Amino acid sequence: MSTLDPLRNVVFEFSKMPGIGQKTAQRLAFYLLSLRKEQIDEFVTSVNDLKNNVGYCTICFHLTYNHEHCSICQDEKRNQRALCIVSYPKDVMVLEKMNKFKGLYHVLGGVISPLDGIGPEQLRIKELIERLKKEDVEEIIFALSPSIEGETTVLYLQKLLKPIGIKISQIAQGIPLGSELEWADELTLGRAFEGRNSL
Amino acid sequence: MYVSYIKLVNFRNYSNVSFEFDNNINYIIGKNGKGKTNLLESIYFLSATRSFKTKNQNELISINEKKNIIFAEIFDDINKNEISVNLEKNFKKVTVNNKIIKQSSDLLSIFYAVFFSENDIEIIQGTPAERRYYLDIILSKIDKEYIYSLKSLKRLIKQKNNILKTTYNSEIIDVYNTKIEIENIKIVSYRKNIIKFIEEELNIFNKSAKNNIGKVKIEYKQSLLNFTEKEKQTELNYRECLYGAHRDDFIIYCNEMDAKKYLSIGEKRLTSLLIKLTEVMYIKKKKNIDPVILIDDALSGVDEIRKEFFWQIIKGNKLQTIITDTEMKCVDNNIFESYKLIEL
Repeated sequence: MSTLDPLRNVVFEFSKMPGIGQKTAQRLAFYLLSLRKEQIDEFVTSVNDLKNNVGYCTICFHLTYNHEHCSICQDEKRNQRALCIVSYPKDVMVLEKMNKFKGLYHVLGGVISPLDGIGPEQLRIKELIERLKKEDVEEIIFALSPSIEGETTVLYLQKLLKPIGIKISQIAQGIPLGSELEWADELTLGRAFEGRNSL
Repeated sequence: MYVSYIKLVNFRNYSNVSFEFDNNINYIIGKNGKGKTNLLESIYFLSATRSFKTKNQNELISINEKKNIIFAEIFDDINKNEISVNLEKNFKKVTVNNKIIKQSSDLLSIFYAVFFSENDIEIIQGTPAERRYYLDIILSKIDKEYIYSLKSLKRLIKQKNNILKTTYNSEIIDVYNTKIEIENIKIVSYRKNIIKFIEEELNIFNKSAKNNIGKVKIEYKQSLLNFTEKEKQTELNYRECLYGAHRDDFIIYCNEMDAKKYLSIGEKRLTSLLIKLTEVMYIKKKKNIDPVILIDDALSGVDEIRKEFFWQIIKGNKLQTIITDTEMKCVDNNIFESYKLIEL
């Protein structure tokens, strides 16, 4: 066994990760090699902790740490009557940073995209329906990306949820705050106009 | 707008040359294989950042060379702009006044060229796909909303085809059909608008000459109004998306006869060139810019009277026009009072 084999193994493992190529993988491997033993232990512990103790919330399917339910679902102060539907846990994180929405979430785990083999069955739609039967939800807010797949998913769910008779809304699309109108592209501007507010 | 100067380095058969153009009529004369079309191709590339000859931009680099440059000075009413295109293998950099341009649509207002050639006859006699492509290209240049709708439709069709071919799910199909209907309405209305414009302009041309193509009517053949059970069943049988703007076509009638079937080659050619002229009008009207006209030996098979009719329209446009030919026929006929002659 050559002395370089362990290094190669680590480089190989890193290069499997998204967005990381051969060169970056090598740089990371050399960085790890330069660390002290305690630092490495800390790193390994945190990775283990991630895998062993972080799971999906059984209610909303957001990430949860050491518990069956995530911190949002456990929080009784939150508005139990508003439900925001997103594709991925990372979307919940973005929306939580906003600190405006005080309701609950439901993470679908993706968007409908037959080309990628994702249909309604692969998403947590059954769970959503079950949830709506049990919980007293008054408004559903869709916060999916405005891509073709995102919009298709919204339309599918809209048709599915309509008979239940809950108020359904979708987040607005428009111009980012702090930017100048002249920099906005025509399409975004068009959407912003369609969704204008009366004053 | 007009192109006053162009410099080509390692572009096809040109290793290092430059040309100056007049802002009116320019006449390029040269034997076969001298590079007349290549020169027009380079000018067109500045406008569209793609070639009319090939999809593979590597072909534009001279054989045995690694990169090439197209550099040009463009004047409009007020400004002088410098456009430069650098091509390397699978790499393209376009700058305007030394600033990098990311979207080719941003070039449109700086330099717009309309290219006329023999192949334009495909607008009349080509496949439906070729005819749609012609409309799509113009509309995409004019409106970003159109590009978006077209891209969306393409994606929706792709996704729907996948469901039709694998696990058919009627509920999902309905969702896709609704989305397709929404984009379809937008695309069709854009196309119908431009077709109406083309039809009107062609009929205006007609009034100005006797010996011509006759009264023109263009009919847009729309394959989808909305999805009923019948359409859904047919698509399920064929397991393919059969209805939508991606399957539409249009028919050109001259004196109530289908141009594709009943016009002669010469008549078809003239009609196709007139349709291209309506593109010039359309750009002028919608974007308020004066495009540059490139004509590559486009009139073969057209008789003298009709040729003169065409050249008179070109002359009346008062736009910069760059014409290629092997002989000086058009000039001999004294159609243009003044022109700049470039011999290759």
